[in-house]
Formats: sequence, C-alpha cells, structure tokens
Amino acid sequence: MTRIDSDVIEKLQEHIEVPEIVRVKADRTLEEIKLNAKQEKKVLRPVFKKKKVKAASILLAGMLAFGTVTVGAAAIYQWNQRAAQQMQADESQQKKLMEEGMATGLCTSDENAGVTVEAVQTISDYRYIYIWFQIKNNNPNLVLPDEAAFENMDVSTENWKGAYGINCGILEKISDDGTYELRTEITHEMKESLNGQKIKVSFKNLVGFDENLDKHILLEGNWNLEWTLQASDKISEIALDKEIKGYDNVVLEKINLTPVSATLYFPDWKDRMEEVKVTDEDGKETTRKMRQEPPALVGLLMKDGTVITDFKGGPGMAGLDEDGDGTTYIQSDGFSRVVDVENVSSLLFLKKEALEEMKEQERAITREDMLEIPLK
Amino acid sequence: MKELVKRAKQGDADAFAELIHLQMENMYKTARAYLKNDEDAADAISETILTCYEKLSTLKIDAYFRTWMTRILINKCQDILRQPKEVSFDEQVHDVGVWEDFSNAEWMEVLYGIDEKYRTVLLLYYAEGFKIKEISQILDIKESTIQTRLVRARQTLAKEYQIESGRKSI
Repeated sequence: MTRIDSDVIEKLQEHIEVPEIVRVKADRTLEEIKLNAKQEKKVLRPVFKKKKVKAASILLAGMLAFGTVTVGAAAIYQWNQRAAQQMQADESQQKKLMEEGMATGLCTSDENAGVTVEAVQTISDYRYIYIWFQIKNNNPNLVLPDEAAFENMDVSTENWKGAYGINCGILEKISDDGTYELRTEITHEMKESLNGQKIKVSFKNLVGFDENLDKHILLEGNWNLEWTLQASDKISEIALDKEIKGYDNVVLEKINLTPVSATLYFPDWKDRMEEVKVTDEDGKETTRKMRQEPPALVGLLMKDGTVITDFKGGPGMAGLDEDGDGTTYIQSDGFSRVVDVENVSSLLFLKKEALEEMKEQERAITREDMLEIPLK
Repeated sequence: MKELVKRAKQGDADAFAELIHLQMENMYKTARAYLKNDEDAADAISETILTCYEKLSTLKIDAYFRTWMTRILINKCQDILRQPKEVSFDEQVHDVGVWEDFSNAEWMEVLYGIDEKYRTVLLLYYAEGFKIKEISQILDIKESTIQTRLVRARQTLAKEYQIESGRKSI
C-alpha cells in the first residue's frame, strides 16, 4: 500500500460526528419502539398472585381438554419423550409436573400441502411457555434443507395477544422419515392465569436460508393450531432480604422459583449506573453509561449437596420493574431443565472477584467461585 | 455485542437501543457512501432501525447482526435512491459539495473523491472492518470481485493522488 492510499484509508477510518438530524431521527424511532414495547405489555410486570392449583382439577381439565383445529386436539397424560430428555425430567418429575398442570402432552395438529405440524408437549409456568412441535413432511415436492424454519410464528390466547418474546428456532431433523422437531419458548407477562385458556399458535411459510443468510420461501402456507393450555401458577415465593457479599451493597429481596424458572428481585437499582468499557465494531475502546447488572446466579445447591449449574439457557428477561415501584431490578431465567424446587437449599452467585478475573480472561466457573445464599 | 443481540431478541428494547447506538457512526458512514444528504441518511437509518427491530427474531445467528443490519441499511439506501424526487435547490447545492455538517467536510471530501465503484467496498473493508466474506454477503457480490475491487481501488487512489500531487508541485 502506498503512502497516499494509506492516508485516504486513515481518513476514512477517522471518527466523525453523526449529525444532529440523523441522531434525533434515530432516537425518536428508538423511543417509539420503546413506547410500543411498553404499550404491548412488553415490560416487566412482576406482581403475580400465588395461586394454589388443585392437582385433581388440573388432571380432569387435562383429560377433558380438546380444541377445534384441523385434525384434532387433545391433551395426553404422558410426556413426549424427547421433551423429557431435553429437560432432564425423570419419571417422578414428569408425573409431578403433570399433576401440577405445568406439563402436558398433546396431539394437536394442522396439515397443509403435505406438511403436518403437531404440538406434542407444553411446559408452562406463570412466565414462560415451552412448546414442542413435530413437523412431518409428506410432500414429495418439498425438500427441507438443513436449516429450515417457519417464516413467522404468532401466539395468542383469549385475552392476550403478542408475547414479550418468542424464540422459534430452526427445525431439527429427528428421523429419516421426514420428521422434524421445533422447540419454541414464549415469554409472557400475563397477570391473569393462562391456565385453561385457549391458546392459538400460527405458523406462516416454511423458509430456507442461502449462504448470504437471505431467506427464501420453500413452501407458502399457514398452519393454525389451537388447544386449551395447561399452565401452573404455582410459585415458591421466598423472601430473602439478604446482602450478596463482595458486591457494593447489593441486596436480594426475594426469589420466585418454579421447576422451570427463577426470578430474582434486587431493590433500589434505578440509579445503579456504571461506565462500562465497550469495544465498538472498529475495535475502538470507548465507554458507555449502562445500568449495572446484578450478580449472576450460576448454581443451585441441592439438599443432598449436589450442585446444578446447567439450568440456564432457556428464555429470559431482565430490567427495572416499570409497572411496580420502578426501582427494583428483576432478573428472570427460564430453565433449560426441570429443577426440584423443594430440594433447592441455596442459591449460588458468582463471586465479585471471580467476575473481575473473568473479565480479564475467560475461564470455567468452579465451586470456589460461587457465593452461597441459603434459602432459609 | 452478542449479549445485547440476545437480550434484544427477547424483546428488550433498551438492549436494542444500545445495539443501535453502538452502530450509529458506522451506519451513518455507510449511508453517506450511498446518499448525498443527511436528511436521506437519517431516513435510511431510521427505516433500518425499524426493520431490524421488527425482523430481529428472524436473525438466526446472533454474531451476524452487524452484517445483517448493514445489508438492510444498504437496501434502504438503494430504495431511497430509486424513489423519484423533485430536485430542490437545496439538494442541487448538496450535490455540488456543500456538506450539511462542516465538521465532517474533510471526511466527506475524501469519501466522494473515491470512485463510486470502489467507495462502499473500501469503506466497509477499511473503515468498518468487515471481512471480505462479510462484504460479499452484504453486497451480494462474489468474494473474488470484492478482492479485485479493493486492489483496483488502491491502484486508482495511488494514481489519482500522484497526478494531484504532481499538479500541486508545478
């Protein structure tokens, strides 16, 4: 490279000011997005009443539930075994979650152009809904590539439209006979129980992706499924009011635990901002004022002494309790496996010093890196 | 950035705003490689923000956010360029090189001094740090073509600036 063209390139790399007209318009667009997110109830609304669920009535509801979809809809008193395997649910856990109304096997389906979409399993607590679908391709003219997906997924219930978040991934081939699996995770913020409500799930168009990540439609069509949702509102609400040592005056007020989620409440968080070093896409280091993140829950210590660390990786949400006192920070994680809530004895947080070390160099978390907060 | 993308995909509008703020300067630079005035650049960026938010759930690989976003932005810029427009006096003035923001005048002068064929490729590669493969995905052009354009762009720059400096020395 000559001196001259390197001068030009250096000039192009220089920091420039984004003009006010651009910044103002972009900020206005972002404000509209935030406002819409709020209006669509996409903000945290943490007040959930603890409701006791009678197992017998749930079981009865489960046995009687059927919907109005194309082929048929019925709840089955049995887990889908792939779902059980992924959620590491043993037989007693499967039975327990069924009795509590949290987990339901299903056979609800819709067929279009030789492709059948069947809902086979739900697990639903007061905040998250996990739904497993099986997709059977009997269309001789349709070849599904490795990375196929639905172009769009909509979810609604009788008194709730839209979700805080829908995680609808890529279809996973589970059999050479053209059967695929789709695991979806839905985050919602309903104050009212979703149990017993009709849930509608609609998929639109099957798409594939080329090497440029552009999607192309493989099969146009809609698949509409509807059934009566079984959901459990049972929460273990544990008041703690305990300081997490090593962090600057951080108090964990309470935790809401279910077999598939943990929601933690950190009071007085509104003004906890910090200057964070960030590297922009040009590799330049800069600082940005961001809200502090609370200590990370990295493990669950069980009564028998075992430590569970592989519970994260499901859906999640975090932010200020804007519909409540506006100052409490809520951190919620949907689990990637079933946890026996009654057997959890302590929460394990990442120690501040370990966190600082890991900022410098990534490494695996060990038991010594964890700080214990007993639940009693 | 992956964490912000993850949170944004879960519907966290604050995380999405953070992501956009991190990209704002790059977005503006890219938009100005196509569009001759800040008003159009503002429109293209604003449209891009909305599209990214609406379509974020379709982004399959979080690490590709920036490539994906830049491709959307370039499409928006091209949409604006395709729109029939009444040319106002102000726009005619802009086209002959009066920049709205004087502080960026030198940068704009250098940018518009580069042949249009090479401008975007040079900017994406040198100023925004995209890899050749990523630029190929953004512009939907073969990697070999991107490489050729980069080489030719450097040759052209060297030649033009030699002539320019020769003139100055006379």
